[in-house]
Amino acid sequence: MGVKELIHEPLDEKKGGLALGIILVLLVIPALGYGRAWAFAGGLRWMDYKILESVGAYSLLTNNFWTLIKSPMLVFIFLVAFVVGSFIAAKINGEFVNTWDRSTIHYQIIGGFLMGVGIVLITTCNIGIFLNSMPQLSIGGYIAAIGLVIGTYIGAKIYERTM
Amino acid sequence: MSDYTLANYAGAIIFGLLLGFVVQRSRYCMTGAIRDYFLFGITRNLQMTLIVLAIITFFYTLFLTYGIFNPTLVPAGWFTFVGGIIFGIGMALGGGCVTSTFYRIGEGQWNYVASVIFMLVGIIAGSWLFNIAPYSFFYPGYTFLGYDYGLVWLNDLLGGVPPIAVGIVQAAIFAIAYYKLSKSEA
Repeated sequence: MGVKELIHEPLDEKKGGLALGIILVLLVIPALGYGRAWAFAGGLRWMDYKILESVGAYSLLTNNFWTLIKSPMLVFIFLVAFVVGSFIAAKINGEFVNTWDRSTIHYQIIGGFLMGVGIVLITTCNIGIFLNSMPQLSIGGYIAAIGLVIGTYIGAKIYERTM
Repeated sequence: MSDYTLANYAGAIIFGLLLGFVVQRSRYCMTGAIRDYFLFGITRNLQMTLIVLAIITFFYTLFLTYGIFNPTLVPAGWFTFVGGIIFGIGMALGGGCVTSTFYRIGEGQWNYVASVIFMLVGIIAGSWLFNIAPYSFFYPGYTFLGYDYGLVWLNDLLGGVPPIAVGIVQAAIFAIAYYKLSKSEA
């Protein structure tokens, strides 16, 4: 497989899984710069921290959760780079769509809010559970993973009925 | 800014770009992995997840055994289970998890920006709401299975065996599950 193919061809489950696996292994090696496993919740919490700090409402976040779970700016930078990476991939392959689908916006609003509340309780996002905590043998990761599977099933059934 | 070196920033940017590119090209979606299997019996994303899990479980537990990186802290308790359910319902309704939401924004599907805005609102609301909920890690002194904040790993519960010993078994389970799933699809 050449570089052109790698850049332009869609990756199937084997190639995609292998590529993701290799990147995620390299990601955690401190000598390579980032040195932490994949999760985006820290970046979102960092954004919230900055927003609330700017309006003097930081007291909303002064509980044990915010002192125990750090929200580094580095994760926010990683998150922005991720969006740029997917933008480049979409743009050079003619898959950039530039759309605003109003028909599903209420699902994005409700879904986004529930994900935000969920992040507080599981302290990370779904990737942070499945591809970060669980491979590190965290008991909290296993418990959250079971909840995530049940929740996704319930949510999918609700979505199916209301569509 | 001073907490990090230039190498940290470079690492975050390079790996972020690379991961965003590969996730878009593979159309990887964790919501799809679970939802498509339950609703339609489609296993593409689930197979990809199992390949990734088999690889990273082996290497992460190997790295943890030799102290190459620090483990991620995820507290355990009732709130972890309930939070998983709430998050799961949210990602199924929202049409994508946090990751697929962000790569779709990268693709120009701007309605997913609403999802991000309400994730930020949800985090603030949840943080405020669960600050008053009892018996969770929000309270200093919370323990689960005798461990502070429920910060406990499977290898600890198995008598303190090295993480890699458990990791090999777990990675093998994921690899076998992938093999069986790919054979049943063929």
